[in-house]
Amino acid sequence: MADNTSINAVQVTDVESGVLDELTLSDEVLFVRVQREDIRAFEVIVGRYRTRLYNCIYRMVHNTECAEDLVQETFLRVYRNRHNYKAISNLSTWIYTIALNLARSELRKRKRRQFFSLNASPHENSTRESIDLPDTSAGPGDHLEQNELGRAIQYAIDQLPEKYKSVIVLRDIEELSYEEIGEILRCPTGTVKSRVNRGRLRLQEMLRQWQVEIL
Amino acid sequence: MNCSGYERQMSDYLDGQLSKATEDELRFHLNGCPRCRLRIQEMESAMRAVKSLPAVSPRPMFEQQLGNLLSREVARELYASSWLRRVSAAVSELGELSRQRPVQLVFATSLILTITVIGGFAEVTGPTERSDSSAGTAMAFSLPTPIEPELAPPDPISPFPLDRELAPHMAIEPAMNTEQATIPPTPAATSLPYTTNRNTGNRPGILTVRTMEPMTHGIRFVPVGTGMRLDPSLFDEAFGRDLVAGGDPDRPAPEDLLQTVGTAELRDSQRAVGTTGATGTPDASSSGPTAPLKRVRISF
Repeated sequence: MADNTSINAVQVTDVESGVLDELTLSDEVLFVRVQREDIRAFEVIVGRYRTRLYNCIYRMVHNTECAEDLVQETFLRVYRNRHNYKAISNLSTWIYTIALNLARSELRKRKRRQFFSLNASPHENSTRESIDLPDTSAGPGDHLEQNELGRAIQYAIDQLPEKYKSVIVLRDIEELSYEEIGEILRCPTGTVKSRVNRGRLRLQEMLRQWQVEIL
Repeated sequence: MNCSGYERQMSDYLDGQLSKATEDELRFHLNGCPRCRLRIQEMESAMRAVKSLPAVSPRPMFEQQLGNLLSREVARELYASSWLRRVSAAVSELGELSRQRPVQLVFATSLILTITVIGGFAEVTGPTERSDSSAGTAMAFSLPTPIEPELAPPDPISPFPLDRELAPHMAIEPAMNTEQATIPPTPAATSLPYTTNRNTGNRPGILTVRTMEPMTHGIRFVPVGTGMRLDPSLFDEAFGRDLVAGGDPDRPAPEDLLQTVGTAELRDSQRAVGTTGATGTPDASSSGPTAPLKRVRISF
């Protein structure tokens, strides 16, 4: 009898805390609920990672529709493979791994298509999507300057090899740690540092060649 | 360490990943190397530029698309899991059944397989047979099979045969209303001798036969009022009496008629056709030619 009372009390507390602290729970706790078929918890996870994943993937593939498709596919895979997730790693790392793998696969497919396409333009993506850069400038005088700078930087990122592009996006845009990047890309931290350094050097060289002045 | 070695540490320096000693060593080198100093300044600017890239958001419709997609996925998984549960439950039930009644399960399975194989074989051979049967006709469709009657039409009531055994409890009574007799006399019947002996008119005599045990010994029930021609050879022509009801009032009563029907000629005729009515005619066969018959057995 006492055991039943305590179990009920725990369940009530759990439910109440789930309702009240749903938005403050950690990703891992929420995902445990997802593994117990809690759809509401999965909605919270999607809400947390939706924009972050889209931003990351968009910087990788530089295409709005493709980025949206990849984000959808990422969440589909997360949900389908939710029982494969082990709580020993961060949920963000696991989700980013899935998203980065999809983005890298898309880049490889695109590279093959460009290789076999006679009419393929190397600047196709950057020119097509340049208008999608949002306006975050304060005044009209900075508007054009910010857009042009952002367009140039995005074009420079597009020109990076895939291994440097991944680490630059994860480190400088998503601001993940070297350890997390190493876990996502399944490579040592030293390799990540080396790639970040080389990627930044290449970006700096490209921007210098294009005479892009960064204030 | 040369400039390329320090160049590899620049990114870590900007991220604050270097140890204190390594950082001091790099700073010392940057103070004395304008090329590396310019390079790290450009790298820091590029890094800041990348970090300053505004966060992009998906289009407004993306929210709804993603929600619909995930809802479909959840529904699909629920549906699949429900089917999986059903299949697993069925398998577990089969397993339980195999433990409890293995022989019955094997028998049922073999029966189902046999029916399936036979059905499949019939399905395979069926169209060929149909095509063969319809090959001779130019009709694209098959005619409906004529409906066979479930029961054959009843045989018409035949006249009393002489070669049959007479019913044990037959009562011969004259028809109460001869005018209702609807069976017209046949020419052969009209030529029979008994018709010439009739007193009332020249129409053939009609007897109404009612059996007392209609369902026994294969005796067919003949309802009262149904005219049935009685073979006149059953009766004694020399008797000179008309068996038709409605005769003259001097004729004998039916009981008397039954007693007087049995004559030597009748017994001779029964014997001649091999009747087996020994039980019904013990007196007729043993008591001499003049003994009257008490019962007349007629079998149909």
